[in-house]
Amino acid sequence: MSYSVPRAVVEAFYEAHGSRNAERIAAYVDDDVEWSVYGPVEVMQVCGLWRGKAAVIDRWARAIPKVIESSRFERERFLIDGDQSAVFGRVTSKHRPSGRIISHRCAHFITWRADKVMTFRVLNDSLDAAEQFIGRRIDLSADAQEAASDTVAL
Amino acid sequence: MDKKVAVLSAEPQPCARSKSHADLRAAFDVFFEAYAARDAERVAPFLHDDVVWTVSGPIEVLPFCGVHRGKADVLALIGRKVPAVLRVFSCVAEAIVVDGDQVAMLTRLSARRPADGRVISYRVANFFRFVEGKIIENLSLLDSFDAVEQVVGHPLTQPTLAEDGSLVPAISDLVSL
Repeated sequence: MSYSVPRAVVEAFYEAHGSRNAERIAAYVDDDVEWSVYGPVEVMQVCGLWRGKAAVIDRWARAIPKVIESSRFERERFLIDGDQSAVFGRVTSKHRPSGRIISHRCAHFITWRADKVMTFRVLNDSLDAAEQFIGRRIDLSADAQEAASDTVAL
Repeated sequence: MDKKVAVLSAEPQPCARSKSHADLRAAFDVFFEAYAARDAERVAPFLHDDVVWTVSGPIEVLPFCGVHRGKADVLALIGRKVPAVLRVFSCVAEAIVVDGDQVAMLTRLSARRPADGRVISYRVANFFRFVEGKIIENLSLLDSFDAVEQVVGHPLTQPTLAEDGSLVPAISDLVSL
């Protein structure tokens, strides 16, 4: 591997990402980007797969503002290695439809090419996040009893 | 089992491919092979005595979630607690990022439930921190909604029937995009 993304580029990308401004984010996105946010899209409409720069711009310009009013990301881990970077942290957002504050852990894994994001993958603590999106706990009590009886002693 | 583990610099060296980076990557590859196989005996040499291993997720359904402190607890987690719920048969690394004394990893894990043989598969992110060549901290982040749905074997959210007979999502305050 010969290309290494400069730390300054990754930092600048995250400044743009934090701004939630589609044009600023677009400046760091490759034309052929693949942008994946894992999680239940029927509950968390920030999740899904967007292919290509135009789709990512549309995500930030149109889709996200309908669901999220504001957000901030607190980084706890930040790694860069050649053409990859990874962060771990907590995202705190205001859910526009309900006004609720939503806060959950998440991780980003990015592959870079020529200082642009080629793949962006987001892993959320998606059950915790989904419960906050819907505004109530998902009742797992019956499943918990079954899980306890399913556990095999070793 | 005695394994050679790299002694690492405490200071991160971003973007610089140093010897310590190569050493950590090499050591991590050996660790990953043992960890992917959930082989506690081979994992043991890579764990610091004071390791803290945190797994996000609902402990009532995934009893291996929570905070596990100390080498003995973490080895029990890998060797007994996880296999009691899920027998991992595949752990594929989709990304491994090494920087200073830290390693981040994104994997897709596939496992079989011993209770009924059902196969489940979900993504996990791990953020490891090393000290003196051993793992002192791991933060595991699961795609927990996906994992729990597969473990319990049914959807976690259900649509309901409206008076006109149409299906209404369980979640009433979502915005269609």
